[in-house]
Amino acid sequence: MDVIKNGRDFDVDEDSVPSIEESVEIPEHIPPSVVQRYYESRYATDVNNKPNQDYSVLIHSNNLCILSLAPTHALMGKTIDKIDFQVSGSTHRLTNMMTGKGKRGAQVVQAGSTLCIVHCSDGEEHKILSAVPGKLVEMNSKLAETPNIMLEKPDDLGFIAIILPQKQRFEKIKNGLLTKEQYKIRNCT
Amino acid sequence: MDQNVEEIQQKLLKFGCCRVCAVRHLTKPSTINVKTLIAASEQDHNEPKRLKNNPCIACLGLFQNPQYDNIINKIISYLKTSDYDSDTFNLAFNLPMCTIIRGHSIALYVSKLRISFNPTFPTAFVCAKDAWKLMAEDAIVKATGKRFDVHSPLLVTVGFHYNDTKDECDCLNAIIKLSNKNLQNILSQMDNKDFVSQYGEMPAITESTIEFKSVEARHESVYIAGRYNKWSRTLSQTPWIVDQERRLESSVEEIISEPLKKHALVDEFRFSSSGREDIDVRMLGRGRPFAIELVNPKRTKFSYEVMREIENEINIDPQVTVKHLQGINKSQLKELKSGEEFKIKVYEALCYVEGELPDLDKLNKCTPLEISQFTPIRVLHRRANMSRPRTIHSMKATATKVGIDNGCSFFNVIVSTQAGTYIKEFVHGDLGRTNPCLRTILGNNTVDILALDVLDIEIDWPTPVKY
Repeated sequence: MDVIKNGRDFDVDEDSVPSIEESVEIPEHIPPSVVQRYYESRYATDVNNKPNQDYSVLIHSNNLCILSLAPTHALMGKTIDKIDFQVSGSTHRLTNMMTGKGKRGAQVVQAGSTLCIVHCSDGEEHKILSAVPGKLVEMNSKLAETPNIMLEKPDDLGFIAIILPQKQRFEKIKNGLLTKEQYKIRNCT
Repeated sequence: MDQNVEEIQQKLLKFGCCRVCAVRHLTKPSTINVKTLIAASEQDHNEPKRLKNNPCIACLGLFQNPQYDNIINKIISYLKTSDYDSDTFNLAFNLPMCTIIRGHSIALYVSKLRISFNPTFPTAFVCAKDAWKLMAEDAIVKATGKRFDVHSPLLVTVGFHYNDTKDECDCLNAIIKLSNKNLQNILSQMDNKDFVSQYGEMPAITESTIEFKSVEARHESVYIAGRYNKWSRTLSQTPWIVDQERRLESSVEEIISEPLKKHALVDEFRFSSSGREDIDVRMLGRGRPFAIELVNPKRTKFSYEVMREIENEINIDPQVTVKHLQGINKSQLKELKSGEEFKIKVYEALCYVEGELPDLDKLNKCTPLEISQFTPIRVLHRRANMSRPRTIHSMKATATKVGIDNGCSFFNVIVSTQAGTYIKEFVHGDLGRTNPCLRTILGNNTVDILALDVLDIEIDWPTPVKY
């Protein structure tokens, strides 16, 4: 590095390069969060026609969908004892093997497929359902050790799963979900 | 000359060989002499009434006029009008398959006679293209000023046309699969009796000659290296195209390549670099090492001055600055790509939290730090999902005043990391998928990043240019 500095290092004088805090506009208010920056917030309510099976779907600009519990989900306010990922005799959601960028071999879910089964401290059992169809790219493995983050930090550490909808069906799937406004209005009435 | 050799040559002439082919079929490659070949050619051309007035049964007229002179002239005028600046050239011939088969047939005949005279005679002979190149070399060198060199990076390929090649090959196709590749091997592995029974004792005399079809050239790739700075937060490294639509007008790659393409007159180029930065990330410090492969360049000689000129042309664009531009060879290019995983990259991140500043000393004290990083969600649609261990070598955090009170406290972190670490995700954690991250280390769930710069790619490559 010293060798370079002995010569004419830059055509642009290093002093004229703005510092990092001068190089960007500092917002006047609290800047948008990660979720606000990159995701569009949508909702699915009464999935499988079951009351309060309500989910939040964060849609990334690359079409990946982050699934989490909506504030009106039946589980909210309860305490989770344990989450079971063995959803059928042969399907365990945490042993979802896939290869490559095409996610070959990933489990495929439908809207309404069971993603896991939640056992609450009050003895109730709830099936967590997928709100969108597609490839199951990731199941949040942290839910196994700390299940209650699903209720406490739903749109962050406690997300349920990442799902990649089929490209051709993406617009249709998205349009079938409630917007944030529609979800709010629904909850008022 | 050996009497037997002379006798066989006479037989070949009677069958309809030109003198050059008669001579080369009885010459070992190691004892070849251009003068002998040229003498044979001159004798042919000075004797208009040859034994048989047909295209040579071996070369189909390759050594005979008007074809012979015509091919030389075509090569010369091509080299003179194309822009290749190479001092040397090499020649390749794409001869019709039937000329190889004809050569094989004559070689069989010659070796049969030789063995009957003297069983110890070697049977190797000078092939048509080698003889042709030796004879024509002088004329091409004199006219173009370029030296002939079998190791030249500039390969001139001459293509030929011959009307009856398909018919002549078909008789053999019936018993063996012929292909342009390794045709000589295929023929020599054939049983000689089978060959003769299908093809005949000697090649047939034909009416048509071999004709010049095409001449083209290709220069080996030339590699140019340098380091670049990117001062813009709205410029991608490579063209940003989604569903065949351009999202941004330009890219670092294009800004650097355009002047190079113009100077080198290339068909295409391939850009590579030691990693890449996001569109909204600046590349500061001594810049990012990169290399460009110029494919089939016509101009390949770049003096120190020309390199500086190209740099200046690139640097007209205020978004990018290139320096240390220089030619490199292929093995130096490999250095750029080797050990990529272990290279150290240094970043500066402008971060913030809502409310009061946390204890930044936690960041300074926690390194070296091993983290585990899942493929970030923002690239997960085009990359495999996997968790990778990454090392944070050091961090230095300082509080920063930004002059605006928006309810947040700002701080700068200089992070030195193993190559391949995603820094934005290391700050906010990517929904807990990068762990630990600044949020977990500082115990504050609002830690986020506003801007990112690359300060250094710790690779001393390429060799610095003295300015």
